[in-house]
Amino acid sequence: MKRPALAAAALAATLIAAQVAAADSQRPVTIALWAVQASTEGREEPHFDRGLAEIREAVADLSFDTYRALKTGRERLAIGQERRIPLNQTYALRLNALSRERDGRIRLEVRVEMQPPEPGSRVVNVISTRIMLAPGKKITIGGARLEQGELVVVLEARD
Amino acid sequence: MNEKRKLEKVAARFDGAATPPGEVERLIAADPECAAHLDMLRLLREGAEAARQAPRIEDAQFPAFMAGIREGIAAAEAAPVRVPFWRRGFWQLASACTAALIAAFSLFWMVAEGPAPAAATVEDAWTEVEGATVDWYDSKTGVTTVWVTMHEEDLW
Repeated sequence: MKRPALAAAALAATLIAAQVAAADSQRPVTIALWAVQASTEGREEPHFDRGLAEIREAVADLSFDTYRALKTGRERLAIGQERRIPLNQTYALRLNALSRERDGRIRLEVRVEMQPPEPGSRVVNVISTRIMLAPGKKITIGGARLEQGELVVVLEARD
Repeated sequence: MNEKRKLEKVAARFDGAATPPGEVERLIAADPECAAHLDMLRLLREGAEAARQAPRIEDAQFPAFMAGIREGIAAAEAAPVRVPFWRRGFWQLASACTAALIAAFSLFWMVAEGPAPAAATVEDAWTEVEGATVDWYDSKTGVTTVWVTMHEEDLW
C-alpha cells in the first residue's frame, strides 16, 4: 500500500472513531428513581413498601425504619433535556441530563422543588445539585421534611 | 652566470654531457636553485623509468584478462546488495506503523471503558431554604448521599 492510501485509511479510521464517540455522547439516558417518605416508627426490622427492595442498600446508612413509596419509575431523557416529575402535592423532582461522559458517567442536574402552600408563591429549590453518576450506581438525595418523616429520593443511571 | 645558464649546465651534466670538471658540483653546492633543479630532474627520470616498466597486457594474455573482469562482475552481482535502511521502503513502513497506531488508538478509544468511575461524584449542591444546609458524603456501602438539613422553623 502506498503512503497516500495509508494516510487516507488512517484519516478515515480516525473520523469514524470520532463520529462513533460523538454519537455515543448524545445517546439518551435512562434514570431509575425511587421517591419515598422515610420515617421512624420504632420497628425492629426496617419496612420497605413493595417495589423498594432495590434501595435497601442505598439507604442502609440512614436512621429510618420505614420507607413508603411516593413514586417509582424510569425516566428516559435526551442529553440536554429537563423533566419535572411531581412526587406529591408538595414536592417535585427536576432532572436535567447535562451530558454523557466518555467513561459512561452521566452528568445530571437534580433539583427537589417545594411548592409553598400559599397560591402564587415562588417554588423553592430545597436541594439543587450537580452530580456525575456511573451507570448501575445509585445516589441518595434527601432530608426535606415530609409530614412525619423526610423525603428521600434514590436515583440510578441505567445504560 | 645567469640562473638560466646555470640550470642548463646542471641539466647537461645530468644528461651526461661533458662539462668542465668540478664546475657543476660547485654550482650545486653554491646555489640552492641548482640543487633543487637536479633533484627535480632525478625525480622525473625515476618517474619515467617507472612508467616505462609498467606491465603490459600482451595479445596472448588478453582473453585471460577479460575473463577475470567478467568473473569480477559476476561475483559483484551475486553478492547481496546492502541498501541503506532509509532506501528500503522506510517511508512506507513508517506510514504503515503510523496508520496502525492511529487505528489502534481509535479502536481503544471506542471500546475502552477507561478507569472504573466512582459511583457518583457531587460537583455542587446547595439549597434555597434559609437556614438549611446541604452536605454530601459516601456511605459505608459506597453510595453517595446528598442531604439537606432543615430546622423546624424552616417549615411553613
